Amino acid sequence: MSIKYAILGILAERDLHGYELKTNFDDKVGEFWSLNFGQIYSTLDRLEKDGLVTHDRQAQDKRPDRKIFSITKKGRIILTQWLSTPISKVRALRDEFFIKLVFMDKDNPAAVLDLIEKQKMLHLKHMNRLTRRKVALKSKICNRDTLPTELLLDAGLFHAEADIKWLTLCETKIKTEIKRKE
Amino acid sequence: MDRSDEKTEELTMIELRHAGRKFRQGLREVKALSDVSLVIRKGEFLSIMGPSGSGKSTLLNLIGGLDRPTEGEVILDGRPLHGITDDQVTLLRRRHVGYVFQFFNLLPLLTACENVGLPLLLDGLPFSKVKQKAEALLEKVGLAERIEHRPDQLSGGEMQRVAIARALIADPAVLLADEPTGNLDSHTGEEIFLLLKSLNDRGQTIVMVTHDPKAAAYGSRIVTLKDGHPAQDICIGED
Amino acid sequence: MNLANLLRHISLKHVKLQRTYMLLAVSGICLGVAAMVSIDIVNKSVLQSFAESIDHITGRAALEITGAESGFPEELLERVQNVPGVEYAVPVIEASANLSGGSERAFMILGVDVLQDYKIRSYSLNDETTDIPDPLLFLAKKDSILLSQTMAKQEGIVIDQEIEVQTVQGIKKFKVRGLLNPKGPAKVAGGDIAIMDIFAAQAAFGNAGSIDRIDVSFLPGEKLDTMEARIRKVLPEGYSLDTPTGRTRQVAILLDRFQKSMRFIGFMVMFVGMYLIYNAVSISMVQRRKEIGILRALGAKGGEIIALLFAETCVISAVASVVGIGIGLGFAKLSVGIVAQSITDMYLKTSVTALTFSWTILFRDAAFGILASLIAAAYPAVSGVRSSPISMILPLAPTVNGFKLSRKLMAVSVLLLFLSSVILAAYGMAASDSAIRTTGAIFASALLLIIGISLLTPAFFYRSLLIFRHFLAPWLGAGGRLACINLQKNVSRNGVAVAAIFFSIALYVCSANAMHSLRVSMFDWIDSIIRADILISSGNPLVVGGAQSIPMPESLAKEIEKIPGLQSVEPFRKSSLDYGGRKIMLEIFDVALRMDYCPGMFAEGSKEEVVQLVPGQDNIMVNEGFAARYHIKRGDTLVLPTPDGPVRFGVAAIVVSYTSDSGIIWMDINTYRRLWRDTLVDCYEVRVKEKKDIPAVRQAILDRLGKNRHLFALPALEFRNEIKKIMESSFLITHAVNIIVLIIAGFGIVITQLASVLERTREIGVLRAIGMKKNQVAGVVIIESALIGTVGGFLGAAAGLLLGWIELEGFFRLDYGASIAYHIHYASVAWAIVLSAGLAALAGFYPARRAARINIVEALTNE
Ligand SMILES: Nc1ncnc2c1ncn2[C@@H]1O[C@H](COP(=O)(O)OP(=O)(O)O)[C@@H](O)[C@H]1O
Ligand SMILES: [Mg+2]
Repeated sequence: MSIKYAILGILAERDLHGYELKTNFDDKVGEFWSLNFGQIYSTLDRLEKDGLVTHDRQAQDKRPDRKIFSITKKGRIILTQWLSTPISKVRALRDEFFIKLVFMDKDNPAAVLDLIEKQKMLHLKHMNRLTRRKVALKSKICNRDTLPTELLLDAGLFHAEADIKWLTLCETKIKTEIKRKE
Repeated sequence: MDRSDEKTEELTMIELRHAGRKFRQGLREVKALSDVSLVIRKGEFLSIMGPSGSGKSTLLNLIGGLDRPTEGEVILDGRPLHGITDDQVTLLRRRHVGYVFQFFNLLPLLTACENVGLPLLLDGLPFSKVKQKAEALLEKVGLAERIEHRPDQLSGGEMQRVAIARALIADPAVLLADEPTGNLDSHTGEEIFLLLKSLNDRGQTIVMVTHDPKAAAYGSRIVTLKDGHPAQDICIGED
Repeated sequence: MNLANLLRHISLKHVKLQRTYMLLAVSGICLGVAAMVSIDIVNKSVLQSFAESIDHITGRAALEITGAESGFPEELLERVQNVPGVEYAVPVIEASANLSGGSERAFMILGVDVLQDYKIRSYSLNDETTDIPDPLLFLAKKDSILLSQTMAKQEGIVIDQEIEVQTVQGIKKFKVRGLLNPKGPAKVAGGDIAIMDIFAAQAAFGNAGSIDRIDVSFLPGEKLDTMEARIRKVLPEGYSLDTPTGRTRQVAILLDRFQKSMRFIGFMVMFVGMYLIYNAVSISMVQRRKEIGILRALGAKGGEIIALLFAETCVISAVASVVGIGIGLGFAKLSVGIVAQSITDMYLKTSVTALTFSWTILFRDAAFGILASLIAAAYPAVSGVRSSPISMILPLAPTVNGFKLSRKLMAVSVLLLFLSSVILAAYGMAASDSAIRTTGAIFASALLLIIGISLLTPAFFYRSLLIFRHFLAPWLGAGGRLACINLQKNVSRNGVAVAAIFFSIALYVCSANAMHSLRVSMFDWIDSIIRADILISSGNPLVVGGAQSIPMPESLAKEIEKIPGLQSVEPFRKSSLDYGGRKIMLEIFDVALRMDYCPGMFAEGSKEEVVQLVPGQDNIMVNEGFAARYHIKRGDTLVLPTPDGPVRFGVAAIVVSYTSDSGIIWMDINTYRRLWRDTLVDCYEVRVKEKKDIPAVRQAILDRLGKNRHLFALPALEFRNEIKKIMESSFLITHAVNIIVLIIAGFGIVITQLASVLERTREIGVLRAIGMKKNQVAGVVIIESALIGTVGGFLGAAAGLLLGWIELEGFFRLDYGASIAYHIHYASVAWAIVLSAGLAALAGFYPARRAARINIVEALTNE
């Protein structure tokens, strides 16, 4: 899975301890992908086993020592390799909504249309949220590189738009079907 | 009751009361809009969505006084658009409405600066006074370098930004945009929306017509039209 | 303020960036104004030159007494002199003369009372004249003459030189006693003038004992009205008493018809100019539709846009008018000579030396140009602005032909045509003195006809296109079909171009047919009245019309008769008299003899009656124009002034005669000699026994009689040719105007096609992209133009034929009084149609080139 590569990517920038790693992850891709600490630590363990990541101990005043993780040479090679390979697997259509469509009541299209409408509104609201984040991101003056985040937001917007367009098409086709039957 | 009414009055920029618009095409009568009641508040960024032919442009034209309803009434910033002469409506449009069209509609013979200043020139101001403001606006929309260019020397996005600057020159109460990015690619379109959004953040009331959900998502409120009638009205609060 | 903004920021850009288009739009009004200005200036200059020469000649005289042209007895002078309040009354003789030999220069001789005349007229002798001639010496020697310095210099004549001058008595020698500075009378006629003592002048140029005119000046403080009344009391009836300005007015009346018809021509040019402006404005409305829509959407009021368009039209037409004035002055300079020659040939001797500049004329014509433009712009501007702003921003639907093809318009046009034909029918059926038989009625009908057809052009054009598409287009391949489709797309605009062509071709066909009919009638008439073989005259080969000849003595007839091979010699005398304030031409000949061998053309009455009633008796014949003007029928009587006072004459017949448009009276020579005691002859008409002898007889006449006088002996054929030349030169202006009108109509096509090419840039780009050749694109445009021209040509030819008849009726029968049969000139009709198609195709060349040069990539990328 690509959590592994995400962690490698973050560590490639600089060395971090576990908590920092989590916030950094959320900052970059949190909108689409939420992880808990458990997942992060188990992944780090696996990476260490494979020799892609190592750690140093850092002493703290009152608390136990902190592990500072860093990427190894082998880890960097693996990461570069991954980054330069395109994804061959196309997004699969196994949306929950699609399942609902399959099992919809053929004699009561009005309910389906209603569902579609509601779904569209949800998508729109989602898009609105994403847009507002994007606007905020653009207007915020910060020296951090926000481009990847922005691109991610765009991806979300385009996917939502595609869904809305698809839903609209569903709506139209169902309606014509109803008309044809009458 | 009275007090709350007063309060909404204060906040209302545009109000449509049972507005409808019929077109006669030969013997056939087309109802482009029917019984639309809508209140648009000051500072709102309203997106009007709907498939093509649903009456979006017709609605916008009613709001901007480019067209008149066949039923009902339209009130713009406390000024009714009914019961007054065409010249009076024209004056309202000149001073209180900024229009941005899908096809830019710049005058091809005029420079960017002159195009922007046109509404004030129409109002009788000398060009020397208009020029400064027009240049400032062009700078604001990021066209400081294009002040003396004619439309045929500008890209689509630049033309639309000139059109937005033109719409803003008279400090209009409301900015109306009809598919402002219908002719632009996504990236250029996004820049236009960001520009509109930033204007809205500074308090400009905007009504934008679009059939593009990405565009509509910039609004603080989205109204969808279906067959000449509002179907959905989503207000997106600051959640 | 507002308007100024719009003008500066929008209209100016159009002028700057669309120059060709503006230039064409301007040229119509420009040429229209030019034509009007030149015609008005020439007209004014002609009158002004008459007024000035009358002024110079009359000097201080406040009143002039004139009788019949052949003078009145001297004893009258004394009577006038004795009227209380009269300061001076001096006699004057005016005669025309020619220098013999050299340039044969024609000039005027003023015979005056040398001892008195300086009191009324100012003469100034050249300083170079060493010894100022003693008036008594001048008097004592009958051969004394004073020449204007201008003429002397040009002819190389010096003081004391002897010059040979043709007189009634033949060639005589005169001695130049002095030269006159160009001042007073010496300025008249550009200096073609000489002064003689009145008695010497009488002897040489007229009848002894009779004078032409008495010039009268008053004592200080005397009023014109009272003096006029007092003098009139001592004058017998038939003498006219007039002020110098009054005399100018008489000339104006004489030239009235000529000047009116010239003005009318100028107006016609303006009218075509209006088509062009209308065309330009309506096209600019189409082109600027979107611009206007945007302005409206941004908050420009409808009124403001209309004001803008009007202001634009105003400014453009003002500029065009100013340029037009410039061109008009140029035209005037070029044409004044031609006009003066025409007037000299047809009315009376004119020598216009300088153009009279008049601000009033310039302002009036410029104002007219601007007004015409505004009228032309009114409909397209107002109707263009009336539609709603949004519909104007949207792209124009391909077939918006709306109003132009509407039933309403058709109905209006049919109504106008119906009205026109009703008027014509009423005119045709009405009695000759009915109220409807007026120029006004006939021109109302013509105007209705023109406007009616103009409104009908789009519909007619549309039908023609359908026919073309069906029958002709297949022969022309894709180009033909495409041209047809393109034209159908905007029938209303193309209809205006068709209308412009229609109008100019109608004008051309109309004038060609009217001229042709005039020619035919004129020659028929000449044939009917001049059956002589040789015409002998002196001073001027043509004695008809306004040409001045030097009369010959009666005795010459005897000498001519001596030449062998002659059948008859008939005298002809030409004079004029004052009747009802007009100068009426008096033509005198031996009626009995003439009727013997000439058929004559009678409107009322017959040859037999005339032969019975006229010779030697107090009966006369008058021409149709005279009869119509004064409502005279056969058998009526009228009183004419004679030197011995008024005499009542009976009208024996109404005849056809075209020599003058102010009225003609025919009188028997015996009657004339008895009453006027004038035995001079202007022309001898000689018949030869054997036609083959004509050259020999002519030579014999010149040999025998040409020694002591300069004679012209024209065979009838040459005479006809001379007449033809005069006619053709009088048509010259009409020809020029026809050409201008055709050019303007051609501009109309250029504008229309240019606009249409501009409008379909994208479409042409697509056609080029899918493989249409440049030549094909250009070909389509040229076919379109030719189609517009042909349709206009057909309409114009049809209307022109009708208008030609109307012109003859309106201008000639009613105004001129001459009935002229209508003769259709088929060649001109065919030529007009070919011309319209050819001209239109030619006009299409520039737009075609523009179309062919369209850049494909740009055409496809532009919105
Ligand atoms: N000027 C007009 N004449 C006739 N019908 C019109 C006119 N303008 C708009 N319509 C009709 O009104 C309906 C709504 O048009 P419009 O407001 O332009 O739709 P939208 O902008 O949503 O695509 C359409 O069915 C259209 O055909
Ligand atoms: Mg629309």
